[in-house]
Amino acid sequence: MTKPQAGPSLGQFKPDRAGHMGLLVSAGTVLTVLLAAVLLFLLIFSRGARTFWPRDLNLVRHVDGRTFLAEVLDVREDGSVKMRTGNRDLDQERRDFFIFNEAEITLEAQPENAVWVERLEHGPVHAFFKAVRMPNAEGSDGEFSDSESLLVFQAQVAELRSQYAASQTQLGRMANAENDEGIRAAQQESSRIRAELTRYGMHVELPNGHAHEIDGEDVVKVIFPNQLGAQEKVGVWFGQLWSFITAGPRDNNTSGGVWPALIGTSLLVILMSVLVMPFGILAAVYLNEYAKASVWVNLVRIAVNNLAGVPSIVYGVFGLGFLIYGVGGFVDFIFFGEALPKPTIGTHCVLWASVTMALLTLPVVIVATEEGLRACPLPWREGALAMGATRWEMMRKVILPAARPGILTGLILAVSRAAGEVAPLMLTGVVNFAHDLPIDGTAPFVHLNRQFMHLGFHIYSVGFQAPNVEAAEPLVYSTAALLLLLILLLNLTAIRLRFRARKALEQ
Amino acid sequence: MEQSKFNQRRRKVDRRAAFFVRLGGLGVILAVLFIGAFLVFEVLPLIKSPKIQEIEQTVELPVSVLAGVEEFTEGAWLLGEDGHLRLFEIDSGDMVDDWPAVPLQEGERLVRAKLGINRNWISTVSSLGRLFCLPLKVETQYDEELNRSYSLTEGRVYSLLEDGFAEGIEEYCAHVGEEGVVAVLVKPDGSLAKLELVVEYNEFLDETSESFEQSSISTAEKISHVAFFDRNYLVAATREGEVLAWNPENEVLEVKEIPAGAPVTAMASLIGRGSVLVGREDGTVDRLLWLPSEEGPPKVVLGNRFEEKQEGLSAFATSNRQRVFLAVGKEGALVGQATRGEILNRFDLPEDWSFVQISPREDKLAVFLSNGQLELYPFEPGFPQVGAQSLFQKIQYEGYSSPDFTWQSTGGSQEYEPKISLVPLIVGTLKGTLWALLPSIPLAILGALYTARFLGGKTRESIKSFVELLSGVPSVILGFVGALYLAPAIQDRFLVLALTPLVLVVLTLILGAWFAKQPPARRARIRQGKAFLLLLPLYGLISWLMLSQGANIEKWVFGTSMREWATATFDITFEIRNSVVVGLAMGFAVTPLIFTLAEDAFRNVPKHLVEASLALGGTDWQTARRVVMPYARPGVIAAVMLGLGRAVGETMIVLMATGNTAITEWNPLQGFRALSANLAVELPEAPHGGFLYRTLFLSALILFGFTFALNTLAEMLRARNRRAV
Repeated sequence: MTKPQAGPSLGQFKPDRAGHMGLLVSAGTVLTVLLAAVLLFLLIFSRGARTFWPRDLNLVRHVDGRTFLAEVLDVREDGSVKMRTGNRDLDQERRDFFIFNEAEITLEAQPENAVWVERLEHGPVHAFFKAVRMPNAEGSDGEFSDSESLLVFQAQVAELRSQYAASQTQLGRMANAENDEGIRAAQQESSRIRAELTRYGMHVELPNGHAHEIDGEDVVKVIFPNQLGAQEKVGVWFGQLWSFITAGPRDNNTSGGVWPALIGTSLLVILMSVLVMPFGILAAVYLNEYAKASVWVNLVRIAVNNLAGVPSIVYGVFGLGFLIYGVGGFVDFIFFGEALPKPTIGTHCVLWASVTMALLTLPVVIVATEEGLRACPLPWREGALAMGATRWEMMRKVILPAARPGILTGLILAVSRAAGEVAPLMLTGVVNFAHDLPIDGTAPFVHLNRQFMHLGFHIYSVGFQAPNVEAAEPLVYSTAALLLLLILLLNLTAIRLRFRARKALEQ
Repeated sequence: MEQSKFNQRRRKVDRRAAFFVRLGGLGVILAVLFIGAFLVFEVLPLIKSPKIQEIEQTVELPVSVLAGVEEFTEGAWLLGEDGHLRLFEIDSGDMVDDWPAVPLQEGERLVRAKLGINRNWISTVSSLGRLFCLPLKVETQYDEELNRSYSLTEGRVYSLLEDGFAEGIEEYCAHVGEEGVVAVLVKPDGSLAKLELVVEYNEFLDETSESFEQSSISTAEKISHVAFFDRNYLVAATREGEVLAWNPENEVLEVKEIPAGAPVTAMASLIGRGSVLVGREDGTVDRLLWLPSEEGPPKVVLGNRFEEKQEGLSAFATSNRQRVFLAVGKEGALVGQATRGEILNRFDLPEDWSFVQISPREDKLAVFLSNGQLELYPFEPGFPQVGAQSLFQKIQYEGYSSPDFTWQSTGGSQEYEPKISLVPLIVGTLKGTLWALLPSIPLAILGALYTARFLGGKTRESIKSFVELLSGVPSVILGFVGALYLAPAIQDRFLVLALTPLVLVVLTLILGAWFAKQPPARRARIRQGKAFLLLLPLYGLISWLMLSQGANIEKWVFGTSMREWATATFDITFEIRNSVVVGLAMGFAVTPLIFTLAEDAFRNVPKHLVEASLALGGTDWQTARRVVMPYARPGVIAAVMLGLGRAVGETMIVLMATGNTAITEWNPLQGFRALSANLAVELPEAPHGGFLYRTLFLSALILFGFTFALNTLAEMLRARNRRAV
């Protein structure tokens, strides 16, 4: 008896035999990943760039009688309008962001003389320009409302402010040197400049009709956004971007720039590179060239690969426990015993943060360097040895130069990792506001035992710990955009480098 | 000659270089491995049990009613029968201060005294039945060479009773605070009397007024011991070993689930006054707690009954820093920790002790013998708060209504009971990981398969590079975007977001079915490598719709947002910064990692297998499904494991995109606190070398061990895969 021939049963039914559906679904996943990434980059770069764009000031009347000069930030789908009104310190509730329903407000014209004044504190003022008060050419005080005087006003205020900062620095230097005469002179100088500064002021009319005077020393930048053409706005954008990069943060990090964070990040990355490169290359050379292939070497390689996967916060824990409390505490005990219990080097600082980062990036450098070394073809080695070179000469003259792209890739990847990593820094030395930069003009110029600011941590601290998150949010986007740009450029270079090296190898 | 010298030098250089490379290489690798060893080294002290060393010092001192040592264990104070509080220097045995604190009448002497929990006052009863409370403050002075000397600071002494009222009092409890004195006396007949001296300060007149009140607590039982809980809730034990409780208004409180035991021989409150220890004749120790209840008065329950017994248990010595106690018996004592409910060690004591005290810094054990002699023993408490029970089991904490896993390591005061359960943190970590992997795994694996098998060289390379770029985005940026952009965006379009993938898949399938129906000639025009471009308009449209209209669609369906609707209808907690937000933000970090590794695995499938499958008539998709997928499976699993490791250790995203409350809940609409974020938040504040510091190191070790094991496994899988190729 033969078994009856099985017909096409339901179990055999494959609707997608040819695989068009599966193909499309998997194509869809690639598309989703790409779209998500593009949206992420777009979000960060567009919002980051928008921060510096001068926005028109609209005269807004609320049904309850309040009047504002506001930047309209966002009109949402549910009809609510988010606007920034400025004048935080002059508002009854100390607010400068409002969300109104479209029905409650009427947007009126964009008045020509609406002025946007950036101040040292309390965010910008949105008002109508009246006049500036300042000494005239003869030295007596006067009021002027023409645009040329306004430019002169800004230039003179900026000049006086920088003179004042210089006199303060001088005062600090004299105080350090305990030069009593110098201290007195610097104090006199700075009080003279202060007195001079009080002669400057800016009269404006607030949107609610009250008159107000802004202290001259508070004025950072004056813009008439409604008078600007597109080209001038681009100019203002670049100006604002420049001051974002080169100025320090102000007003509890809610305005100003990121210069100290940029410096801190750079110093961290440079120190880390100096530490990690020799050791990483040494370890890779050992593993790839000197160690005989054995179970032990395999185990070590697995261990090194693993360390790349150890959470970064664990490195931070190690940095805190071993480097700061252990090594730092020991050095303090041996060399700075008289200063104890105040720690000299056994404390959170840029040095230990860099060492921690170097440990963290070590596997990256080892793996990349090994790849570079492996890419050197055997005949090169044999050739070098056959010509009578010792092993070290072969390494130094032939293999290491040939492995340079790999080593460079390792360095770039390590730098990009270190620039973006925040968690271990939180345990080893980063702060949200450092009074002194780790690099400055007083000997020994680089202060390894100082705490520092960092772009990545700046994002966290401003976005989450600032007292006025709404005011700070645009700056956080800008900081994120700056950091992302740096890291993308670094990674792109690394990818290109590696690609070219692989290509060269294939030929 | 010249030549050979030169060669000799070259060889020397070569040998040296080899030596340095080996030394440096091995050193680096050992140093890196040292990280794990160091974590273990910092964690190990946690498992040490409390120790008492050999006797260190003995001093002859007069006999007293109550005695103790001051902070540095360099001075001892004694309250004599004559009402004098005296201070002695321990090294020399000399008296350095003498304060006639208690004004006694002729023939009257002190018979009993007790030390307050915080050791800043003493209550005492005289032979004439009078009750006094006196402050205890030993002042430390430093001279120029930083040598210490001591003196007593005198203060206000409260006298609570007229002659005779409290005659024959054997047991009592008292509490002195800024608001006055409360005391409950056990009379010889077993009834209770309560005394209250209320001190009120009038800040306008800068005057204090005192009012005295005496009441009785009615009970039919014969009481033997009393003690106070927080807010002056009273616990008493009867002569039969039962436990009773009253609130400050003298109303009876419910006592739950305390099995009867032997008669009570000792009772003491612990710091924070959240627990009372009860010692019984048979040597058992109970820890009682009072539970607040939402409606009605609080209850008194049994927190723990300690397993081990102390023969002849007759007194407790408590610590003024933490919930450690000694249960002191005839010839020895047990060291216990109340929160954990564990006896940690036992040791012997001289037979004729009269008071035993843990020194204020917990470094010495002071034993005063009945002949007045003081013996000092070095004491190492270790880290008794930390143990398997407090880390991983449900614990009945003071003031909590039921046993729970809780992480709340520090509180407002020194008396706070640390809650260090790692369970909520581990659950939080796993929850975040789960929600990160859920979208990432299908996206990354299918995406990698498509990229590896269906895309041509150039497109593939650029997509790979782009994904690699994405994997370089710092996690702080992802966390920030998650918290400040995704969280509020998801809040009003949660359902739309959850349904979008489903809609996309269904639409893609329909498109696929339509595509399959097309005549082959037209199908051939769209090359497989371009299929994803075919989808671009569809995906673009859907994502635009979701972003711009999601909230409106949700409003249209539910009348309000799904969040408000669900909260109102099902009583679900919907936090804005929830696990789904973390999952999405972390997806940006995990997907590229899995994608890159899986793509490598798919690319590594040998060409001849693929070609054989195609030659036998398999379609491209069949080849990908039946040949490439199974072959690359170990590599893909390894990729997923590495992604898992990344998600487990991720710190900034979980720190920023959740509310960081440590809860043991799997609800995806609530936040969590992960091990890693907890380290970032708490380690900077933890005192170096303390129990919290070491517990945090333990959690770092758990992270390290977990990821290390995971990565090793993945690495082994990949290595095997490579060998097979």
